[in-house]
Amino acid sequence: MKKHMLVVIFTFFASVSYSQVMFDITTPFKLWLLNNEARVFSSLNLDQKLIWEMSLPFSFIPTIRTENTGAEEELWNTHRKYYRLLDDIQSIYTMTKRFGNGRLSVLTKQARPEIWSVSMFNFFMPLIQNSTSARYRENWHLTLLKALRLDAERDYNLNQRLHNSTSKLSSEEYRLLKSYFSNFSALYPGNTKIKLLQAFLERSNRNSTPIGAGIQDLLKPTQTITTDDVEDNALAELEKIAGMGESEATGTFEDTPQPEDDMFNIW
Amino acid sequence: MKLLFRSLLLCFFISASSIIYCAEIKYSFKPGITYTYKYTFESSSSVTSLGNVKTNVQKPIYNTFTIKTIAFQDNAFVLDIEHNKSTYRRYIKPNGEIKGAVSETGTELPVFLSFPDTDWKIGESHQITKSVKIKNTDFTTVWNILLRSVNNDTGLAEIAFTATLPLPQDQLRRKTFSLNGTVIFNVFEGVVYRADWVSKYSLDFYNKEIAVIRNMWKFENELRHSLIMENLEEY
Repeated sequence: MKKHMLVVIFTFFASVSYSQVMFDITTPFKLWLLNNEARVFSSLNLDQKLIWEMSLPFSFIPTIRTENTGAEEELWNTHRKYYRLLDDIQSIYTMTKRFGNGRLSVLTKQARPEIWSVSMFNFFMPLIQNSTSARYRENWHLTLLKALRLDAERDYNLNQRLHNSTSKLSSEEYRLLKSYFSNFSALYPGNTKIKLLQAFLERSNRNSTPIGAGIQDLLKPTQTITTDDVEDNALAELEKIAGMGESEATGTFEDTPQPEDDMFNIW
Repeated sequence: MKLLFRSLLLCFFISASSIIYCAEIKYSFKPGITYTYKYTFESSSSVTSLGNVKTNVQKPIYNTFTIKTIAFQDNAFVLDIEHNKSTYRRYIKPNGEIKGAVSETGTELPVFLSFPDTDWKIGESHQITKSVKIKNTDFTTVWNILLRSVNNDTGLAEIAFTATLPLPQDQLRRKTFSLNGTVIFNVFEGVVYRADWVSKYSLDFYNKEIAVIRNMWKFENELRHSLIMENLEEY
């Protein structure tokens, strides 16, 4: 029994990580930016040491070390905002790809765990189902959302979530991020994921078709069950803008260009 | 006519006596004297990222330190330098080179400028080469010092100095560094009266496409240092 439980748990976590890898659209850009930062950090660090050696040229001056915080700190702060925004975009995209078609919502409604879990007691206590089903269903649903790392309040309106994330950037920071995306596209024209990122960023400023419409029923389920797939027009539109083919949209990353052969060789 | 000639000759000797054509620039800290200096440090920097510019100007930082001359022995001045309630003992040669810094063993000392040991003609420049070791790599710094003028009345000599430092760079990281400064040296007292120096550093970071190199970030940093003697008294 324990072995079976371990297999179930392992499969669940493996599927969660696999889905994150499958629908990954931000890692190549993040690695590129991080690698550039690392190269610059390394240079600035060594150069500052050398410049300090020349800073007090008279032997009668004590070694006064002064804190010299430069403008680059502001740039790194801006980059930290970008990483948070990219994580949010990644989370929205992964969620939409996994649950956006509404199939899981239908499945959970059909499963009715609140009925079958107490069905054996129906004969002895016929009213048990009525008294327990609502709470069973509610708890089961909350546990399911927790296991899927979903938050009903945060994820119900993904357009709003995307807008909240991008509104943390100032107009200057927003323009700079767009320039970084353009630079990355020019360096790696084969990478279509960046176009999807660009499309997400531009979409955050518009009130248009909601992203991940199928998730809403999973987060706050209604009583009706529709077995048809919910079409996520917004995501399809973004993927079309990005020029992503079927294989890319489903997350095959074999052809993703790598920024450099040796990402961590900063010298 | 004779009177005019004598007057002109007198004027020439008076003016010539106030200008010295060469001088010996060397430290001469007096035992029993405390010298108080005020050191000011200012920093400004900017980073340009794909046309977006961020600047940062820091408020000046003021430091005061005192130098007590203990003695002159074995061709070196024994100085107690007090700063922030700490005292460092240094042994400094008359030309400015450091002979020892017992209390600072293990700490890295910067590269110090030294003056020529011989008489120095006005307009003459000297080159000094010093080595700095960081991360097991030796970097050679080159200092150029020029004696601009010496005033016979005040005893103040103006010395200009520049320094170059070969910073490691490659195709994607291009760097420049310059250091320029001026020292007003009191020849009579044998001490630096005032000094100002500025270092400028820039790093251009590029991204390389197949055939094109794009500038991504440009970092610039300017450090301004100023030193002035505030007091000289017996202790």
